[in-house]
Amino acid sequence: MRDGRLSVHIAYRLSNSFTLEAQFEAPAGFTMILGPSGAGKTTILNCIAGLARPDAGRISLGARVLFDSDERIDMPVAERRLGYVSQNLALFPHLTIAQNVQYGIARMPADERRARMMTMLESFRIAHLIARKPGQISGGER
Amino acid sequence: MDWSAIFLTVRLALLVCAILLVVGVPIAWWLSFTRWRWKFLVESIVALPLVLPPTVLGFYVLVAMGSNSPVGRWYQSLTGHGLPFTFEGLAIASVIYSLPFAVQPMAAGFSQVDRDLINASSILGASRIRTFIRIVLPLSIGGVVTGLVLSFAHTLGEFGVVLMVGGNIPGVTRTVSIAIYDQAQALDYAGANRMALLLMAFSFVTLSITYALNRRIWAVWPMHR
Repeated sequence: MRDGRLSVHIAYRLSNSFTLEAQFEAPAGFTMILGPSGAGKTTILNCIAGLARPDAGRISLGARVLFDSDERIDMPVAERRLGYVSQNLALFPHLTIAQNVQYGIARMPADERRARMMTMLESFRIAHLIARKPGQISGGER
Repeated sequence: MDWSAIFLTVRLALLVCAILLVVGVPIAWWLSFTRWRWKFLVESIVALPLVLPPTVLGFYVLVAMGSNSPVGRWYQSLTGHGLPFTFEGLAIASVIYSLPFAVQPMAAGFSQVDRDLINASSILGASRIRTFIRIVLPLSIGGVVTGLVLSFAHTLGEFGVVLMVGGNIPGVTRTVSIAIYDQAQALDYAGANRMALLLMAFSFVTLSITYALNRRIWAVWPMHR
C-alpha cells in the first residue's frame, strides 16, 4: 500500500517477564525486520495488521490511524486494508481453489472477479485446479 | 398412547432448539474467542444445569418467573398472565436446562477452527459476520448440529424441571416423561412401556442420525491442509 509512512510505537505484554516495546518509522517501500526467534517480529506484524492488540501505543499509516490506545482507536482488521502472508498456508479447506482465490475480492462484480482470478492462476500455470479443494492438490500447488 | 403429550413434547423440543440456535451460538462464539479473565465464571454458569438436580434448577426458575419477581411481573404486565405452569414458561426453563448441551459442543467446534483461517478471512476484508458464516460455521457444522440434537434429545426426556415449572396440565405442560410417570404410578405398565419404548427408540434414531451425519461431514470437508 503506497499511502505513506508507517509509524509504530507500541508496548505489548507477552508474559509477566517480557513486554515487547517497539518504536520505528518505515517509509513506503520494503522494510525488513530482523531479530532472534522470540524477539517479537511476528507480534509487531500482528499488531500492525490488527490481529493482536498492543497494551499501549499508536500505529499509523500515512494519515490513517490504525491504533491509538490514548484515543481508544482500534480499527477492525477488515477495514485496515492490509495484505498479510502468514507463516502457515491459510487456504480455506472447505472452499474450492476458485473460491479461495476470490475470497478477498468478494465485492467486485462476478465476471471481473473471475477474470482476475483466471489471470492470476494462469500466471502460476495452475488454472486447471480451480474446481478442487486444498486437500486435493499437491504441496507445491498450494 | 397419549398423543397430545407426544406432540407437546416434540413442539417443546423444536422450540427449545430454535431458541438455543439463536442464543447458544453467540454464547459459544464468545466463549471460544474471548480472552476475558473471568470467562471461567461464565463457563461455570452455563454448565450449572449439568450438575444441579433438576428440582433445584426448576425451583429457582419458578421463583424467578413468579409474580413476586421483577421478570415475572414484567411478563405479566406484557401478556396478562404469569409464566409458571404455561407452555412459554416451560420453554424458558427448558432452554436454561439444555443450554450446556447446546453451548459446549458448539464452543468445542468453534475452538477447533484454525485461527490462521479466521485471521486470513479478516485480512481479506471479510466482516466478523461474513467470516462466521463463510469460514467458521462450515468448518464447525458438526459441533453445531451435535449441540442442537443433544438439546433436542435432552428436552424430550426432561422430567424434574417440567414438574417444578410446568406442572402436569394436559395439552399445556404435560410432556411424555410426565405421562410415563403418571401411567407407572397408576400401575398402567403396558401404557408406560409403550410411551417409554417410543421415547427410547426416538432418542436412539436421533443420535444415530447425528453421528452418521457428522461422519459424512468430516469426509466431505477434509480438515487436513
